[in-house]
Amino acid sequence: MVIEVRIRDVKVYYRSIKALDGVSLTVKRGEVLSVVGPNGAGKSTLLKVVNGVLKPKMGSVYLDQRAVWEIKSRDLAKICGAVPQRVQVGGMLTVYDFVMTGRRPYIGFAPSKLDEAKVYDALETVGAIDLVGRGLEELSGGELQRVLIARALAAEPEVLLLDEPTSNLDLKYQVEVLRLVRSLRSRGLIIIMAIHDLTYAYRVSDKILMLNSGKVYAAGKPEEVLTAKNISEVYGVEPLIFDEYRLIVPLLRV
Amino acid sequence: MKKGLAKVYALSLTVIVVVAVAAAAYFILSSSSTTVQQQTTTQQIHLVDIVGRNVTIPRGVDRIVAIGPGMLRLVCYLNATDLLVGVEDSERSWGSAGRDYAMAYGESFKALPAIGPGGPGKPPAPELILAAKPELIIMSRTYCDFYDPDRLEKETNTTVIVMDYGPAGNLDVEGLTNALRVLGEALGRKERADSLISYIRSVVEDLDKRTRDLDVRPKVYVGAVSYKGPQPFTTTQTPFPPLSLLNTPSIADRYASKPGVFFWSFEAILSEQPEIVFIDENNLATVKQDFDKDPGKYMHLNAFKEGRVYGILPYNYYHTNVAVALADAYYIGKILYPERFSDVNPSEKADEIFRVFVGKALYQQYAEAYGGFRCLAEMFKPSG
Amino acid sequence: MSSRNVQAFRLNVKHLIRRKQIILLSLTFFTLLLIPLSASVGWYKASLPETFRAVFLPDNSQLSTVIWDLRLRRVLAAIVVGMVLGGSGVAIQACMRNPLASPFTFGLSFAASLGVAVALLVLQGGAIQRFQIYVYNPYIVSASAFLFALIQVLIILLLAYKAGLSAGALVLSSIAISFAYQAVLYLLQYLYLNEILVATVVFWTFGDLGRIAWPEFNLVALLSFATVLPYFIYRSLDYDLIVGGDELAKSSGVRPERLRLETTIVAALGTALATSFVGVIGFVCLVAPHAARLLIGGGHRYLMPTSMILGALILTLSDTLGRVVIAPTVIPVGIMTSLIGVPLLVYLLVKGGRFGYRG
Repeated sequence: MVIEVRIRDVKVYYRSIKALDGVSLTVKRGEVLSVVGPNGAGKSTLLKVVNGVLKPKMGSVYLDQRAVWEIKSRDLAKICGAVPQRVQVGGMLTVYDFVMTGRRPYIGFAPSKLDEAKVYDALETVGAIDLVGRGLEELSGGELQRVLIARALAAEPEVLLLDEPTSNLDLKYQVEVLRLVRSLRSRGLIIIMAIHDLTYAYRVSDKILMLNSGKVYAAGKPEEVLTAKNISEVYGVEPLIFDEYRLIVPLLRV
Repeated sequence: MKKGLAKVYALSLTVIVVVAVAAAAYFILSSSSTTVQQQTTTQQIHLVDIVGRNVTIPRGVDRIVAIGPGMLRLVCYLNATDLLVGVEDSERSWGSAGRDYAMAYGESFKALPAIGPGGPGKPPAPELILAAKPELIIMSRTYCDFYDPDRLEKETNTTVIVMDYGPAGNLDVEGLTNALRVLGEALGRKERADSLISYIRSVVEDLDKRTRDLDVRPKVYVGAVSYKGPQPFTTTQTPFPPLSLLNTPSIADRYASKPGVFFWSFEAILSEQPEIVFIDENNLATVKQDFDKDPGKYMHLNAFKEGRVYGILPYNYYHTNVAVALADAYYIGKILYPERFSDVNPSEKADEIFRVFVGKALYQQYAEAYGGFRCLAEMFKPSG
Repeated sequence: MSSRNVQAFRLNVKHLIRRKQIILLSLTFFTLLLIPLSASVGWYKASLPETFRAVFLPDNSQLSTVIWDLRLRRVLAAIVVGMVLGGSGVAIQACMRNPLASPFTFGLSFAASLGVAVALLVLQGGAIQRFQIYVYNPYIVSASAFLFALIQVLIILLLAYKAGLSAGALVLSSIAISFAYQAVLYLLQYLYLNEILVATVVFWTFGDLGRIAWPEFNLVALLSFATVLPYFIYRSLDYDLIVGGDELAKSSGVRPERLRLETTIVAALGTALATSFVGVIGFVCLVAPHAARLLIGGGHRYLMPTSMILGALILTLSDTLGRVVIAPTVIPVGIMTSLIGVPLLVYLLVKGGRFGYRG
């Protein structure tokens, strides 16, 4: 039962580029943390550090008292579920098989009845049970996104990492995904989400981490971080912020 | 004065006649001296070689080289090795065992310079040939597939004559006879060629006479014949030349669509059940190895069960060793038709043939290298 | 979503799985059927009941020897080697995310041929003494082929490891090394081997199932059934995972480089072993996975065994055809698989449309 994800002073270098330069954050159970920032700010990199896919050059990542790199990768996969931004769709896999791969940390030789049940559960949770027999290549963007989330959920994680879950989706599906995120939050998951859309970040998150060029520009409650000043500094665009609706739009001077 | 005029007439007539006769004599005598000149320029031999080229060779060449499969062998058969001014490198690097002419003359080759790589499929080396300054190049027809003889002539500024004596692995008596005759004339060894040809004819005649009118012929199979690499027991040649000389078919003859090397299956051999089996001793090790791995199938062959397995000398090495092929025929004849060959001792007959062809008795050397004419029953007994 | 609807979808999946199982079982049945059928085909004439009796109650008779040593052994070898090739093909294709990958992409056939050439050279003692080739130990050529194939794999792995063991790195290293091996092979042939030995090397590369004797077959069968085949089956789910990308695999607790390394070694070992005894058999490791994918889809749980069975089926059919088509001459199975494999592959490509990995 993970209570807290703690990241301290993490530095990640890609060759000579500092992808993350001393980033720290804390997220607790039942919290949604959105990581915002322009492209290349290090959002995806941060997510990969949390579930151990990337090892930071310096710094620490803790799940409660345990450092992430001390946990065996199999056990780590049971705790952290990752929903990548895109996935290589090929090889004629069915949705069922694909979601089953999310159960990998639990499966020894062959999937059991329990694994089957979890797959169906996950698909039901994301509302994609009707896709179960389809091939991955046949799915639309929104369908694939939900299946990706189902795959991550099949592992029964306590920490969910989502990388740009709403990009490339129709409005309807964007809303559905965000609703899903909220419901998962009420189940007690720790959710860390990299997201482009500032309105969504505003509406859905409990905490925001604003990154700029690998450094933390601002961190805290959404209203504290998503200020006009911060946004214009980091994004180079003046925003219009409607607090009652929690709506942020860029000011278009055409 | 009529009498005086008559005398003048008579005198003039006499003078004219004398002059005419003298002139005629002169002319006649001078043309015969040009005839003499023509005779000295026709100290040349005009031949047509095996690919139809018109070749002109001066009489009495004494500097020759032979390139390609079988050519040096022909030279040796014609006792013309003293004319050689160079040999292919392969003759020295391969070792002499297995080539009848090399086993007889190998030592003398060592002293000669190399005039090319040699070997099936290796193109000649004009620069090396030039360095040896031959007057005649004897080139194998198989080389013409990838090297134009006329081109070689130009490059070496030497006459090239293309020869062959039948397809490799075969015993083409007509082809051999023809080659010996043509080359014999070219090298001034006509008598030797004639005597060798008549010996070959007599041997073929003899084999035919002994085996012509038999009603019963045993079922024979010849396995592991030499062909481009170690061959298994299931490779044979059909028809098999020494068997043909003995008027005897091989069990494989019925199955092959065309003459030559034939690969078939062990099952088929089993279903034919040959009574007598000969194995080309060049590939004996391969067969023995297969036998050791898998004796079961061999022991179901009656020939192996009864120990009627014999070894013959390989005759296909850089073209057909004619002497060996003939020697093999006598040995096979002795095994198949002992009554008809009761007077023949195969190893002695082999030596006789060798002596005629290359002037040396080679059977002992062959036996040391390959095993010789022998029964292989002991070798093919299943162990334990 | 009402529970009855959910049930309907679950049933749908059950049907899909059932269909896969039926296909797999049918293929297995056909392959098993092929064993006695293949044993009854051949030049040596025997009636069907006699043949069946020889298959099940072998004795020392001539017929039994023909059936067992000359036919059944080939069939059993075809099945084992076919399974190894089919399985290796699928595994390598998953790890490389490339439908045209195969163990031979690593240049195994070149390395093995080089091993044969070196063995012949060494046996000759360096200088060509005679036209004969004595192979003092029947296993020397095979052992040499295997050794060289192994060295080839190690070099490739080393190179790829330096470059991070990504799929692309493996492919590039393989191609580079293959060319190098080929060049060395040709150099050796040109300088040292005479035409006889060259022909031997070429002849050896035509895979021929008749070459394998019982002790060799036992070795291959034992190693394949004990290590190679179970490994692939065990890793089936991981192959599903790695097809989605290295990151996806990592996030589910599977280390992609480790999987790639292990798979490469196991596939290479299995293939090298088979190749060193029977020669090079191409196309099966390409055709079997593709055909299996068309029949059964991409889930490796069923794809892997199906590809193995298809490999066995294709190889057995090829060998039997090779024995029959121009009897009594036997066409080596390596040639048959190439002859059959090319049009089959083209057909699959045309019909299959999508069968592989994009990107």
